Amino acid sequence: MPSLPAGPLLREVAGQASAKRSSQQRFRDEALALIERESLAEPALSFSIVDLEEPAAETLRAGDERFYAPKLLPQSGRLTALACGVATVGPRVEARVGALFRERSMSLGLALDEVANELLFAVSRRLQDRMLLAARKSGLNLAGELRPGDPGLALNAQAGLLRLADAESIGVGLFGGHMLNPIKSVSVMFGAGVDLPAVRWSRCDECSSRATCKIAPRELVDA
Amino acid sequence: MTQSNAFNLIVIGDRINPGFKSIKTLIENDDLAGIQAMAVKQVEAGSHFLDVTIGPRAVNDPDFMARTIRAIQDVVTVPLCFDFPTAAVQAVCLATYDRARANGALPLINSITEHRWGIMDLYKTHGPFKVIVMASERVDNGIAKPNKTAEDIIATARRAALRLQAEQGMAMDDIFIDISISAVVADTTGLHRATLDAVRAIRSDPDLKGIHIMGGLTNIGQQLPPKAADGSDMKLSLECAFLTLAVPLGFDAVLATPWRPYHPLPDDNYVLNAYRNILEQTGGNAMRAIRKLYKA
Repeated sequence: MPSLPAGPLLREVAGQASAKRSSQQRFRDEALALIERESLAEPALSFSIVDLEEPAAETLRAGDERFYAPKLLPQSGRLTALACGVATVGPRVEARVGALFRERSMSLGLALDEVANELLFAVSRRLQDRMLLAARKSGLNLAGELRPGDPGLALNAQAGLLRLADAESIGVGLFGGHMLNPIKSVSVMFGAGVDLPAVRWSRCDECSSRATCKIAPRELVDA
Repeated sequence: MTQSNAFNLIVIGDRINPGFKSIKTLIENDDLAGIQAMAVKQVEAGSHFLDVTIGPRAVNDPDFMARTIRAIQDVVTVPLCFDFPTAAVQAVCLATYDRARANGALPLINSITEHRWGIMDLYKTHGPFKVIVMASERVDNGIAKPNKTAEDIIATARRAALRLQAEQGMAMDDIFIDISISAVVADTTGLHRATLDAVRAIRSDPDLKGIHIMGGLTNIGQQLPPKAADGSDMKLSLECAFLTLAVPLGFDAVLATPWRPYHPLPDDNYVLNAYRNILEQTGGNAMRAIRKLYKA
């Protein structure tokens, strides 16, 4: 599954308006230039839609994996599969952030880390778009988004989710525990099925930062 | 994602528009998959048509316009609404649109006015199609003028609809009258009252039986504070207040974001009553009535 061209992602991130002070903006511009000059971004994504092995229940079985995810059970329609995906911007950018800190170029390191996060959001959005389209082409719709560690999907679901998403094919795995490697990666699971209604919950509902979060309202608008 | 609007309106999904920053980015990056995903989301949320505009790029890059239309039709089967003011771009859109992929449904042209009637020349070469007629302006002695009274809006709608019927043989069901819903904050001359009176009159005109009456609601809450005096979301409450009054009069289609949770407001709703009060006022009294939306 595909690596993505970095150019459009960089343009997208560069085009995002920022209300930063001029010094911050300078470091941000420098970080973007650094990514381009040193080809630090290696965006890639992988996903699959895996049929359930038995009728949907609180513990969902798919592809020889088991996930306790009762939040994905729909109020109507039929949950028939799990859509599992993973996206990354690759290992080079985080390595460069580390190098900048070691060189005591903290401001540029922070700016690069922040831009890498924005790149990851952009790749993540593309992942979700492609999962949605793949589901549609299979006559399914998606409902309910969970990521390992969210209320509703335990962190130890990470390994199974990565396996189903074929994360290895884009070089994403786990550190010793459940942390994604490269760090600038995300994994996601959706319920997939027939006539699934819109869910009334969001993975952000129970987040303690929701009131001040800049991302959650945007995700609601773009949902 | 699936949901239906509580007013049973015909929904023309408005999100494929570079006015939305996220869509502007998709267009600038040739991200057709992103545009396709937005089309799917809107259909799953209950859109009956999808409005499509890609801004100035449609003029400069007709090939991208065509690829966008084909990409959307690859993933959804609802008819498309082409939102461009020029006949040249509309011709590209109509030539690209695959009616079979929309289960035979006609595309919708957004929009013509009495002053901008030239697009209808496409009806013979690229038709048939449905059309949105802006009833907010008329031609007076060869000059386009804004309609500010119910009488002008009604007369324009009637004249345009009957002309489409006579010249093109169009069915009333293929004509959408856009009655243009203005910002409440600037309405000191009774524009909203005129709009609602026009909806009632157009719907009760026997010669226009079957015609659709529509509008976009995004302007209605412009420049007002985000919260109404009762603590509710000002824009959404005002949009619902308008619909609560307009739908029973015959308003039946909306250009809107399909997951916006429109719902009828109860009779004792604060914003609905404040809006009713605004409808009865003009001039300084209207200004004072508008202030009551956000100051109890």
